[in-house]
Amino acid sequence: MTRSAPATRPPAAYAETAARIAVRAGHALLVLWGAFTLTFVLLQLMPGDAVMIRFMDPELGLTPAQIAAIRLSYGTGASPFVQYVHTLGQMLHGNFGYSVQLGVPVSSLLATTLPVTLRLAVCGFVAAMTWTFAVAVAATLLPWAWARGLARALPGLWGAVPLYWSGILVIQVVSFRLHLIPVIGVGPWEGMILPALAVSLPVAAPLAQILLQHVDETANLPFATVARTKGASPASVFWRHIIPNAMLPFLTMGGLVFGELLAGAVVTETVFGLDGVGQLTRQAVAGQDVAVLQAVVMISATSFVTINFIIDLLYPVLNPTLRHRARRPTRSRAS
Amino acid sequence: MKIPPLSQISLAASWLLLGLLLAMVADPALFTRYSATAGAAVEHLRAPSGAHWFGTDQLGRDVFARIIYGANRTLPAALIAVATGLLAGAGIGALAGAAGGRVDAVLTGLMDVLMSIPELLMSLTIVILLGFGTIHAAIAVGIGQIAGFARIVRGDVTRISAMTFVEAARGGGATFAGVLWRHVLPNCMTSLIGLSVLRYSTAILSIATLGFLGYGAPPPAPEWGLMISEGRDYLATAWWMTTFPGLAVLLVALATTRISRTIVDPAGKRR
Repeated sequence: MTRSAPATRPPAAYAETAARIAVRAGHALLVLWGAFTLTFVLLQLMPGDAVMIRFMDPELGLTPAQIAAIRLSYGTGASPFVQYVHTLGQMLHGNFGYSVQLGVPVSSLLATTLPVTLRLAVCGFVAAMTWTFAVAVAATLLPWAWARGLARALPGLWGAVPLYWSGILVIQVVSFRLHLIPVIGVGPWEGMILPALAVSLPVAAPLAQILLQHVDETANLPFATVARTKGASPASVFWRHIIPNAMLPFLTMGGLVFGELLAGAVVTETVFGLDGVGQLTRQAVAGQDVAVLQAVVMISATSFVTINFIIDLLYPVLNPTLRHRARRPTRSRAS
Repeated sequence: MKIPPLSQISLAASWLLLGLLLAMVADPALFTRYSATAGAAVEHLRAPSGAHWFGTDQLGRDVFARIIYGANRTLPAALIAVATGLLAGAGIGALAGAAGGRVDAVLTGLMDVLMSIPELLMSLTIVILLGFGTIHAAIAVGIGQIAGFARIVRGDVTRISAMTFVEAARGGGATFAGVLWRHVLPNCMTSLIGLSVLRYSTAILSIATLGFLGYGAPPPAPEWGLMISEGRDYLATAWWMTTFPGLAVLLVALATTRISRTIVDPAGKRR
């Protein structure tokens, strides 16, 4: 689309870009609506809703009329369609309903748990990126063939390590054997070191594999050979020519990474006893707390869609070949 | 004698491990004389020894026996998971790719929706719906895998449907379903089987994760994820309770991943 936009008529090009953004945004909203509808239908079909499970306990001695009143106050007594519209409207206003299990608004639960999980996600993301690039550098630039081979094999190996198990092993070795970092009674950031380490491994594994694959492909392209024959050192070819080009396909994994981090949080927060969204999710499933689970799913879907939307928009800006085209549109098919 | 390359050794080891596991599923009693659920309380929390290779747990149950019997539970469950994801995913993907037009647009939208929800959260939603238990966890994991299968199949079917031999078959008067079944789907098989084997290893990991979180089989059952979760309380004193079940999950996942690579890429051109 951008290819056919002549540079001599910028207004048309802008209009085209705006239209592209609008289409993308519309698609993103449609996906979110679909995710809401899907989870609503799935969770609505639940056998014996959460209210019944909690209040049908004979020890509470509630009459059927009282139970019906409670159901109505939680909004589960109305017809499915009315509930659907009501829940959707509430969610658009940032109101995620009430946790049946804990009896408090879901939004207030999220307010206390989200910061913990975000901190974990940020630390995990930084750690994962560090692993990924360390592996790519080691697999490409190390002077010994056996070491390069080892670095190549690493992501496949640690991708198969169950997250809860590596977390437990880390606690076992670092806290119980070496007594380096205590498991309890540490500061908010210090306490993140081990969980972030644990959560980063399964995230970094597919990332490192994809980056390595693209590094290999790019390294065989003519321009890399030219750079090498002109006398550039392997390190400079790697950083200045290979990485910028190999990074692009890598970027599209961004949304996936976030999903992995959030799913990883469910396990990691359980292992390390952190009170974040992951722990909240685990409790919600155990207690059939539908509103909480739906809120968590919607938050994660929204983040996924938003991140992908941003990456989509940034793609032409970051892609060197597309930039080239934008400047000299007449040589559009010059690749 | 020339030593075979490392990749050949790892492949042979993977097949060997898979064969052993199948034998374990077929007849667990062949591998251990201990029971997986009944233990001797006086022998609780024993370190690995000649009598108990992998030690014993807090109730005196033999950890090795529990891992053997656990294979009997986890491996078939992972098969159910992959079958669920494969059948539903391939169905949606094939329909979208072959029908095209509006059907394709709607189904691709559905796939986008499924992709926007992380697999684990999707599984948890299904677990809430179905209730706990190994089979339910397996189905939940399978539903989480639908989107991935659907994407691959849709891409393949779209590509193959455009080829001349498919057009020729259609021109020859074959029905829509006939062409799809006889000409298009057989050509998708290689990538589909490769993906299935790969997803088998992720299914084992995911089922063990659900077991770890407590949504799988209830406690006395020998389930790998559950064993790790139970061993957490004895981290400081009994490392073997968590280490060995974790190793079991890791090795099976590694072996199936290794085998899937040879199916997708028999010549080993790409690592």
